Amino acid sequence: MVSRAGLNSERPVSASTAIEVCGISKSFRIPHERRDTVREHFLHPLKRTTYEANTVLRDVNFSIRKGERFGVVGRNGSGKTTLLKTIAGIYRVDAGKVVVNGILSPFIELGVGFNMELSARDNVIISGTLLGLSRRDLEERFDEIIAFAELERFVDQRLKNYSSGMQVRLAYSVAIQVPFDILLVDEVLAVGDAKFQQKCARTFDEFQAAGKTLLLVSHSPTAIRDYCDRAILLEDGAVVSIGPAAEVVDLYYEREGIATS
Amino acid sequence: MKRFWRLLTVLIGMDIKLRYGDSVLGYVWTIGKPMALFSILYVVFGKLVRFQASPPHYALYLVIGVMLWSFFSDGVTRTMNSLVTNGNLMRKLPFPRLVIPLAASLTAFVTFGLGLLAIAIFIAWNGLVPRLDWLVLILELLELYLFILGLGLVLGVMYVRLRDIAQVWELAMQLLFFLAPIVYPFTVAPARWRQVMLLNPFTQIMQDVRAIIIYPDHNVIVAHATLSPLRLLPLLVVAFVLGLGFILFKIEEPWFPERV
Repeated sequence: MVSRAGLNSERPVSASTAIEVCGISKSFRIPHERRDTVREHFLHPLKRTTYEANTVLRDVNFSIRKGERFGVVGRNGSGKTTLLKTIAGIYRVDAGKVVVNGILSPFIELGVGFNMELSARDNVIISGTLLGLSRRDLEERFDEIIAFAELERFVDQRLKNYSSGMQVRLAYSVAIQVPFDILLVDEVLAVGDAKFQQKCARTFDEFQAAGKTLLLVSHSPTAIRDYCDRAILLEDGAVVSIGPAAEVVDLYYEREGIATS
Repeated sequence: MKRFWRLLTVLIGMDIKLRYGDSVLGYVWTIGKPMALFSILYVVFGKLVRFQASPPHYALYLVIGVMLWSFFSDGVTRTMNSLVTNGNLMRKLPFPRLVIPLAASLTAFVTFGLGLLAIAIFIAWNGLVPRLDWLVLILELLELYLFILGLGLVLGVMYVRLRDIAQVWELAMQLLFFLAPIVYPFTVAPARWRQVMLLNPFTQIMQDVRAIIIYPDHNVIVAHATLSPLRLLPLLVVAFVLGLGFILFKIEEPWFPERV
């Protein structure tokens, strides 16, 4: 069990919980007048840089049970990706605590940190290693990764020659080969083609059958409704609603003023 | 630990591939660039303008200086840049961030292997026979590596916040190149100044390496064994810079993904 820094006191998390998010807040400091160069510091040595705190997450609370398929909906800029990054341990939270119970595989911002100058083969090795796969794991799973992404013909081509859809397919293929308990997925369905979307959906079913937990982030409400059991709606960094996915999505439509079918 | 090592080797492999992937001559550049610098300096200061007290075996003297200098400058620059150039990885994946500067500095060390080969060729050419005390060279190179890592960490952490650091370092390198007796004989500097210059660990290491290889009468082991306080000072500088680098890194590490 991994718990991340926070102010809340230790609270026991039941064994059936995969992710426990307790009152987390996160803000980024944005300087009002960027002074990144020494020259500016010299020109205005007495002027102090003032910062504006851009609060992206406000006291977010929820917990995800093991084996659950959990969705996060909200507009662009509502804090969905930041939430995923704090859960993945990439961002440090200002307040609150995140407890992750199990091995986590993050697929954030449509990728796993590929380098465009390297071939798919090299990128799979680098990202796979960073995600915790051993050399033997990688050797065993390499063909499967390439096959799932359907990129056999392009293995030794550099990623800069790939279409964005191909890159996303490869990144997702790597992320799901990690022996994870919890998969964090950020918008994969929005990019792949119809066939790949279908394939992803099939993997979601397989993960559920295997008792794995899925945290799916999307600004596409239909995806959340189709693939998730429960969901939260984020608005300006705060949880507006939490409950069965269909209800949360309806509320989202309502608040956005979109007629539902 | 095993995973950390594996991460390190994979990242070093990637660094090397990225550096030479696009060029026709590839690895030849690793040795070609410092050798070109050596040739220019040798023609200018070995043939055209000669120093009054030109040290014996000047070509070997110079090649040691130039190869160590390119290891130092290349290593610090790479380590400094590594955090910013790998920002994409840090924004997307959680992993021990320290592997990034470690991999960058070790890549420079690996590349330096070719520089060592060049030095070895010059040694053979000058008819010098290896001696047992040359084993001390390993310690000297280790000290140089730790100095590079420490300085690279300090500059790299600062570079994440303040992008001017790259320009400042570029200028500092030009200054350091002439502050250290890479090209000129150390005796050109007045004796008093030599003590001050030896505070720079790079100068101390380079002079030690030259002394061990070319001028065995100037016994470095004895000098180290007596541990005169003056000899300890550059070692303290290395320890201080390395400690500072690690402390700054630890303080800033959690904020890299959002600041880089």
